Amino acid sequence: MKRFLYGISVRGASHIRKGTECQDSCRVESLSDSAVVIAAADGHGSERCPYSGVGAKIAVEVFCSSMKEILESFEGDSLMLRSYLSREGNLKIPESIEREWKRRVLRDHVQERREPPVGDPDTGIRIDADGSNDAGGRSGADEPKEVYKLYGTTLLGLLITTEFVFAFQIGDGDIVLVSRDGVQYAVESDKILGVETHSLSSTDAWKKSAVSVFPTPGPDALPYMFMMSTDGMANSHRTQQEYEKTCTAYYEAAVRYGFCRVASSLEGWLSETSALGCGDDITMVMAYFDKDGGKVGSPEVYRRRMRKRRKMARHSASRWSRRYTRCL
Amino acid sequence: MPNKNHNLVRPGGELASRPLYFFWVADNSSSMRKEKIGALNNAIQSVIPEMKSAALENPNAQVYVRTLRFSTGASWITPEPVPVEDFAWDDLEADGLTDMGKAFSLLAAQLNIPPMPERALPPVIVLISDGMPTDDYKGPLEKLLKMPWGKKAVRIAISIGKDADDDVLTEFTGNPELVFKANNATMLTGLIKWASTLVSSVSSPNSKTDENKEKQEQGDGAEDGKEKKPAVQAQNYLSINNIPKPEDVKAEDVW
Repeated sequence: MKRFLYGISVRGASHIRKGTECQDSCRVESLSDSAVVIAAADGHGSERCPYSGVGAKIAVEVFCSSMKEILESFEGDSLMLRSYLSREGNLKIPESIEREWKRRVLRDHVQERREPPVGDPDTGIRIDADGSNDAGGRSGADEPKEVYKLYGTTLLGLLITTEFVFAFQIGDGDIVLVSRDGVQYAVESDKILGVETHSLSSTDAWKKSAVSVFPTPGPDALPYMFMMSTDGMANSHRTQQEYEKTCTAYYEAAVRYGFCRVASSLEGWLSETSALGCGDDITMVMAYFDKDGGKVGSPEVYRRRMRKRRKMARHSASRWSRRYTRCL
Repeated sequence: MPNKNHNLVRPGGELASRPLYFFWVADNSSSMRKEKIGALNNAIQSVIPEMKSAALENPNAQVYVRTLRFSTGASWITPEPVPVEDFAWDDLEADGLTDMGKAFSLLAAQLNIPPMPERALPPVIVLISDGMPTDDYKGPLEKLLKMPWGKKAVRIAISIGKDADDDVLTEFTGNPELVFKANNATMLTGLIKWASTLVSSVSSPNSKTDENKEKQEQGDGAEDGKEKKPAVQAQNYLSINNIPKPEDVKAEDVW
C-alpha cells in the first residue's frame, strides 16, 4: 500500500482585498511506517484575535507532537493504543492538547514580547513589552485568559494507523473519509450557525472537542482519501451536499489522474474556491491511500516532465513555484 | 479536465458567496405622522447607495434586503428578499396603531430554516419605532428569539422621540446599549446610516468565538432565574466609534 500526504493553506480572497495575512495553518507528519498524523487549524482572524495565525501554527504543532508522544509511549502496541484513545480520547487527550497549546501560546507571547505584557509562564516574573524584567512585579496569572483569546484558533487532527484512525476536532471545519462508497464524516462536530465557532482559546475548551476512533478501511476499500478542511471550504459551497460533491470530485480526480496531479493543482483550486465562495482562508490536508501500482502520478516524474514541457514552451520559471506532495 | 498549463481544472460542487439578510422593520403608525415618517423615508433613501457600495466591496457576501412595516397590522413591503443592487425604498405613510407583535410574528416566520438557508451570515435586523405596542408582542417576540436565526441575528433598535417604549425595544435587542435614541431628524439619519454599515462588518468571513454561549453556560446569562436574551451577537460586530452623539441634538429640534 502506498500513502500520500499533502496539505496547503491559501489566503482567502477577502484577506487579499484587505491586505491581511493567512491565519490558517497545517502540518503533515509521517510518524512511522504504520502511522501518519495530519492537522489543520483556522485562526479566527478577527480584530480581537490579532495573533490567531500564530495560534493556528502552534495548534497544529501541538497536535502532531502530542500524537507522536502517545504513539511512542505505547511502543507499537496498537491494541493498547487504540484502547487508550477510545477510553481517554474525549477527556485526557483534549485536555492535554488544550493545556499544551495554552502553555506554548503564553511562552511564545512572552518570548516575542507581544502586547499586552504578561508574566513568564515558568517563573511567574512579569516581562514588559520593552523587555525589562520585574522580579518584584505581579505575576501574569490573572492575565493569560485574555492573552489566549488573542491567539484564538480551531483545530482539526487525524492520527491514521494501519489498524485504526483517531479523529479530533475543536471548532468548525470538516474531516471526511472519501472512498468508492462516498463521503463519510470522521467526526461529528457541534455545528454553530453563522460565523461563531468553538475555540482552543476558550476556558475548558476541551469540553467542546469532538473525537472518534474507528477502524482504518481495509485493503479492499483502496483507494481512499482522508480530507480535512477549514470552514472556508464548506462555507464556499451553496450547501453541505455541494461540499460533499467537491470532496468526491477531488477523490475521483486523484484516482483518475493520480494524487500528485491533484496536489499540484490544489492551490489554484482552493484560491478559486475562496474567490467564488465565502472569501475566507482555506486549508485542505489530504491523506491518500492506494494499492501498490495505483495511479499516483509520481511528483518527481511529473515535475521532470512538466519542467521539460515548460522549457519547450518557454514558460517563465516563476510559474512553477509550486509545492509538491510528500510521497511516503 | 487538464488545461494547457497541465493543472487540472477545478472539479466539484456549486460554489456560492454567503447570503446576508438585512431587515428594516419600520413603525408607520399614526404617531409617526409628518416629520418623523418623512425623516425615516429620507434617511433610508439616503443610505441605499452606501449599502450598495458596501455590498459591492465584498463580493463574497450577497446582501439581500427586506422591509417590514407595522401600524394596524403588519406586512412585508418586499415579499421576497431583494438583492441590495435592486433594492429601492417605497416611502411609507403613517397611519393606524402600533401592532409590533404582528411584525415580530411575520419576522419570526422568516428566521427559520427554511426559508433562511443554513449557510448564511448572521442576519441584521434594524427595528425603528416611536411608540409602544398596541397588541400583544411578548409571545411573538419570544418566538422570534427562539428561531435559529432569530437567536443569531444582529438586532438593534432605533427609538424615535421621547414617547418610544425603550423597554420593549430593549427586550427585542436583549441589551439597552443596543437601543439608540433618535431625537431629531439629524440623529435618525445618522443612526440609520450607521446601522446600514453593519452590512460591511457582518459580511466579514472571520470567525468569532462563541463567548456568549460560554458566558450563558457559566451562569452569566441568567437573570432572575430566566435565560437572558442573547445580545452578544450584535456586540461582536458593532463599531460604536461612528454612532451620532446625543449632544448633537439641539433642544428645539427634539421630537
